[in-house]
Amino acid sequence: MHKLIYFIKKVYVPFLFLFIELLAIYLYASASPYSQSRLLSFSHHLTGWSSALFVRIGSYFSLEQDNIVLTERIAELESRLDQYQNLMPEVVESELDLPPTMYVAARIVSNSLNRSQNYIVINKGIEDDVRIGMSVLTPEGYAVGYVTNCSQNFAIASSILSTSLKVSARLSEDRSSGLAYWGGGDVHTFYFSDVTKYAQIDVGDTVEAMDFSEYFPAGTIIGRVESKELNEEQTMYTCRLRLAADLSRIDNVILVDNHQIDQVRQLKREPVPPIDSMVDANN
Amino acid sequence: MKNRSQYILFVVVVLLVQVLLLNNITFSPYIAPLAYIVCIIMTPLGSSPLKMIVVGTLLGLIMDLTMGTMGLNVIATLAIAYFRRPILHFFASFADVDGEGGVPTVLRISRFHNYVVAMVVLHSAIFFIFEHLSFANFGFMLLRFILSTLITLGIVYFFIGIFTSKLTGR
Repeated sequence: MHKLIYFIKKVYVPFLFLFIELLAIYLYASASPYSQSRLLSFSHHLTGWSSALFVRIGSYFSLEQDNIVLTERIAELESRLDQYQNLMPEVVESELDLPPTMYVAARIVSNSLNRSQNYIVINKGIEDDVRIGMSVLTPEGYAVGYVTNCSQNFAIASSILSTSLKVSARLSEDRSSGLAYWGGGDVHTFYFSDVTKYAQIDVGDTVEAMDFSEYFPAGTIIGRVESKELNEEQTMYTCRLRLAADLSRIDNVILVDNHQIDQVRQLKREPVPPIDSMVDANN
Repeated sequence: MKNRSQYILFVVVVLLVQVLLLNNITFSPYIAPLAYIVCIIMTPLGSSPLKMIVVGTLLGLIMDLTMGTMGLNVIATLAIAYFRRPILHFFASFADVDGEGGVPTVLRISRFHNYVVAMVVLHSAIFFIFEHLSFANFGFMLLRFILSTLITLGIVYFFIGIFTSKLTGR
């Protein structure tokens, strides 16, 4: 008995170390972006005031730039309004036949750039009609991220600067499709891969979200082509993009609730019917 | 006793700086300072392995809760806390490590700077390898590891300088 107690006393520390270490590895391996954003939401409750303080200080230094962006945006919207007012009333009515798209203007409270999966904390929550899945865009309409979690007054969005995020995208001019993703590293550099070698790609071409993109409304600009190169098999292009949104300087965002994205997500969740049943249905 | 209360105050200050300042300021995607490891580096000599496990786990948990990472900080910090004793023995004599106790300083540890660098490099290596878990962006990971380690070392030395200058006695 004494020997057993002596043995346990001798080995319990390494065992305790191994047990906690393995538990931490299991927790880390089983963590999803959702659980991480829940944790981040909790920590923001604890440290939110300090983040808000930094944002308030920082916002004073960007007031001039914000004013310029807002003035340009007002001018653009006024010119669009003018164009719509000149349209035939029946055309306007048919355009409004679609379910309304909701926009919520918000400010960024904290924005990480130094991780492989980055997150943005926004100062609007459920009380402001923000909900999970909304697209996050810059005031100019460039892709920034999508909302993954909401509390009453805050929301957490997964940033477009996340290595796990792959966006279905296409070239605005050529319409060739591919996958847009962040490769880590420079916050201004994005990649657009799996583009057919027959595509006509020029430097400066715009890459935008496709109609069936799960994260952004169709046509949302992601970036502009800086360079292109063929893969080893000489079958597909991979383009280096300059990200349209400057996430290192962003303060204001617009959250967009797009009904088309909901339909895409719902379709993706539905189980794929077996091939036999599809053949039967066709017969 | 006085040194112990100074150590606890030091840990509180380091954690506040890490959570409220370093976690909120984004220098670059290549730089993620993990200066809180100085709390493990400066844990008094002669601390039992069980004590080191408790300190490492608690420190890792606090950082995970505030950084939104599930378990990543515990993995890196607990490993460093547990293996601190063999690392100390590598850079100092048994008499120095297990002798009179007190916080590690240049006077107590013969190769103190080697010890600090080894602790910071090992902690950063474990942290960034587990963070990426892939060698797909190896260049990015390597540069992030090197720059973050250098910045962390700078901040760690800053904290050590402040702490040891306030210490009374040897």
